[in-house]
Amino acid sequence: MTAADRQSTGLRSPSLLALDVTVATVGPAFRAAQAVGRQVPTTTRPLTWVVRSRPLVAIARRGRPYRVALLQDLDARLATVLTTVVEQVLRRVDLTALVERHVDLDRLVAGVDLDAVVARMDLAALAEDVIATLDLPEIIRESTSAVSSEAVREVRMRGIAADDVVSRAVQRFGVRRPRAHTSVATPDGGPGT
Amino acid sequence: MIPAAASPVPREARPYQGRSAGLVTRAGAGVVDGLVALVLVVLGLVGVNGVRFVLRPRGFEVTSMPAVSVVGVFLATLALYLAAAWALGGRTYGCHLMGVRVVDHDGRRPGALRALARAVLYVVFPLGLLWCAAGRSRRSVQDLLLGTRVVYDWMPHAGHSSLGPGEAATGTRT
Repeated sequence: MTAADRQSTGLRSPSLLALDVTVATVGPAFRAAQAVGRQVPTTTRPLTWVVRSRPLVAIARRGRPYRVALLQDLDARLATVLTTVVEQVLRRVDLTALVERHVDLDRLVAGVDLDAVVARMDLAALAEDVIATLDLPEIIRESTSAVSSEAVREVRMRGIAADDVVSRAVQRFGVRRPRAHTSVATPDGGPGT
Repeated sequence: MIPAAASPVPREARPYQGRSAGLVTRAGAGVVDGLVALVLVVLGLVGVNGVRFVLRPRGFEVTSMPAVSVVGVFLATLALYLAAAWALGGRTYGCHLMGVRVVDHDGRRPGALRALARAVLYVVFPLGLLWCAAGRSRRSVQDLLLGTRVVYDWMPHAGHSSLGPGEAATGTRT
C-alpha cells in the first residue's frame, strides 16, 4: 500500500487501525446478540408457562419458608462474620490517629450548632450534679462565718437532740400530747414520736 | 431562696429548719444572752469609771453601787439588748449561736413593741420559758402571750432564710 492509499483510507496510525479492527469485529457480534435477545421472550414463553403452572407454584410455596429461613440464617452468619471482621479491623487500626490525620476537627466543630446542643441539655440537673460533686454547700459553709465553726455546728446539733430528748421525756410523763405540726423528727430525718 | 443543694445549712440539720426550738436550745441561748448582758454591764461600768477618771483624776474612786442597783442595771441592760436584737434581726447573739430565730405569727421578725414586751416579760418572768417544754407547740408563756415563736434557723441572715411565713407560723416545714 502506498502512502496515498494509506492517506485515502485514513489508516495512518497503528492505534486507529487496532480500533477499527475491534469495531469491525465486535459490531456484528453485538448486532447478533441483540437479535438473539429479541427472540428470548418468544423462546422462553413456554418455559414461563411451565414455571407458573399450579404444581410448581405449590412446590414453591413449600419451599418459600425454607428460603426465608435460609436467608435469615445467612443474614445472622453474615452479621457475626462482619462484626468480627470490623472488630478485628478496628482493633488493628488507630482510629484516633486516622481522624487526627485526615479530619479537620476545627472545621467540623465550626459547623455544629452548639446552641441547639445546649438547648437540649438539662442545665439545671447538670448544675446540681456539679454542686454535688464539688460539695458546694461545704464550701459555702466554710466561707460563711455564722456557721463556719464545727464547734458551733456541734453545739447546735446537740441542742436539737437535747430538745427532742426533753420533749419525749415530757410526753412520756403525760404532761402534754403531741401535735402533728410540732412532731419531733429524729436526727436522721425520720419521723419521731 | 437558696436551693437546698446549695444551702449552707448542713444536710443533717435541714429537716429541723423552721421547726419550733425546744427548751435546751432556748435555755442555752438565754444563758449566752445573760453573759452578753453581763459583759455589757461590766463594760459600761468600766466606761463610766474611765470617763470619771479622765474628768477628775484627783480624788478618783471607783463607783460603788449597791447590789440591788447592779441587778437592776443588769436586768435593764438585758431587756434593752434582747428587745433591740429581736427587733433588728430577730435573733440575739445567743440565738445566733444556737441557730434559732424569733418570729411572729407571720414568720417575720417581731416588731419593736412586741420585741420590747417580750424582752420585759422574759426579764420579769424567766421561768415562763419552761412552758416551751410542757406546752403543746414548744411555746413559752411569753410566746403564747405575744404570738411569737422560736424556730431553728441556721441561715446567717433573715433575708437568706428559705423559711416561708406560713411554714414558720405552723412549723410544718420538714
